[in-house]
Amino acid sequence: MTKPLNSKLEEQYPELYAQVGEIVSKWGASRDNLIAVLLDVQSKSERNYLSKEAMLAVSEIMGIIVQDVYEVATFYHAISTKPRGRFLVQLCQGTSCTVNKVVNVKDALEAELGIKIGNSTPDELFTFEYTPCFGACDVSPAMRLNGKVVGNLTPETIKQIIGECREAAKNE
Amino acid sequence: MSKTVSVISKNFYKVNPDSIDEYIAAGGFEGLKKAITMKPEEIIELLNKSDLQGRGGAAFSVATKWNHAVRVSAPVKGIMCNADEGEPGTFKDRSLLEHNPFGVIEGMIIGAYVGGGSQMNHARIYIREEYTYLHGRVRNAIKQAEERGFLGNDILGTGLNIEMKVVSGAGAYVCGESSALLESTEGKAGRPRIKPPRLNNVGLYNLPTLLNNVESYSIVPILVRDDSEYRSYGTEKSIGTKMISVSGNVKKPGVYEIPFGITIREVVYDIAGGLSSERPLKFVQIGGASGAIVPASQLDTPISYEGLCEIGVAVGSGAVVVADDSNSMLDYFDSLAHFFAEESCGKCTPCREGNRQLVKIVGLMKSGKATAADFDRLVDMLGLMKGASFCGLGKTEPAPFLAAIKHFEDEVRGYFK
Repeated sequence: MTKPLNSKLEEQYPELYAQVGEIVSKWGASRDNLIAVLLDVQSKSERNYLSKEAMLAVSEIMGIIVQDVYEVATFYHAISTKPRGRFLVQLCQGTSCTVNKVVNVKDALEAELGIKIGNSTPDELFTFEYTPCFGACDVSPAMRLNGKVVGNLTPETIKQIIGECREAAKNE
Repeated sequence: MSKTVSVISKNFYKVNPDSIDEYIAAGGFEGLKKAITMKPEEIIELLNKSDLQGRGGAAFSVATKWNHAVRVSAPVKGIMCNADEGEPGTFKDRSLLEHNPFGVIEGMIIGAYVGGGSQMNHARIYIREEYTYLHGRVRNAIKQAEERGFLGNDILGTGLNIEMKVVSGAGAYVCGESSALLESTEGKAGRPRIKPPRLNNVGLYNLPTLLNNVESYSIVPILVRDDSEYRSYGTEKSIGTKMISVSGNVKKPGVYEIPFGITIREVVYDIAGGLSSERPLKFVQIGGASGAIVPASQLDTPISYEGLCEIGVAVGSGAVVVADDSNSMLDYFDSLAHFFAEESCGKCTPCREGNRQLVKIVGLMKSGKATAADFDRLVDMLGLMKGASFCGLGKTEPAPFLAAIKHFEDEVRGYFK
């Protein structure tokens, strides 16, 4: 670890700093572990994203200039620098899903969630976005729900899946 | 008679992918054991005899690549496996990692034996983030191989040392490009590097690096052990078998292993059960999002390097996306244009700005405001991207658009008033 002796960031955000420190020690502080560390830090965040403070902490602890951390964080689809909903709904926009009329699923999701694609619900429960092909074309049209593939979607299954998410959130 | 075969996919659903014992009982690591009794040149000759071509999409001769690796001698080298399968419509590497992870590892060890460093080899399997559920399985396979002495130091008494790890991608199609993949493995943004220097001179961590696709590595141990079954399939110019991913409007989408030389029609109707909607087929796209579009009139083209080449199509990643006549070219253009615009890394102008223009033109087509001048602009833009882009992404992307314009000219022109 290359973190500075007196970190203002550590004073301000002790919990986050300790958490990032733990993740960095697990993966190692060398540059080639940056993506793994960022994915891991993001997965621990409640809103499923990398906050500015988290990026600053990664930068300090790994000894990588913050511009580089930011560049990597914003380059990849799997990392978000904006807060996302408790449930991340990523609908495939690939060719197979397109010919299997993913557009109907999109309409069903928009109706069910009450938002247009590319947005989050006001209660911050769902974020709904398009994603490039994730190799589940054998079950297209498909989406990823918090990273997990859900395939063979129809407007009916959408209702059920979203209902289950809402139920799960209620019971938390 | 079934038109699919199982040579590369022999272990699928028969051998527990989490158990090295089962893999060994099924003949696993015999290829490696035989390989270490051979000279590297003999192994390369073996690959050359079957004319094995890179299965990621670029179809570069594996023997040539490995031969370059042998010629660059170095104490420490990189051995990379590209499992960033990002081509839309492609998921055959997914099933290889899922059902036969030890086969990939064995192929990489043989690669290191042939073209690796004399003291140390840093081996990395770069698996896309979208396949996070497979990372654990492959890590487990690596661990078991280490425990049995197939990885680590002095492998099988040959003095070969390999340290192998799984590296996760983070969602970026461009990382399937070899040098972008290395940048990403090193923890940077995945933008392609200027070549030369070639990766076999300056690759991962600036080490000479040997990089192949999952399927290419999987085939190597099979060929080394006994190539007679593999060589009994295929055509004169395309020897052996190929893993393909069939999806779209078919009854039985999935991953299949086919001998080279069967026709697209056989794949769609005999293997994949025909069209799910029972409507007429309009077109298939072969080889991924950057593959060409083949109209129904060319369905009897054999899937082989020479057969597809004759109609100006490449085997590519082996994706076959089937579309029935309910699909408009406009919707397909829309999907492609958005995909590439999103995935362009932004490094070079033709690809970055070209994609922006493509999305704009497709938007005009959708709103019915596209004019004949826009059509000319589209064709110009595609030509420019094909000729002037920095890496394969921008260079190959125009293929489906140009093929669609060629085969469905009336329909496409109809969108331009």
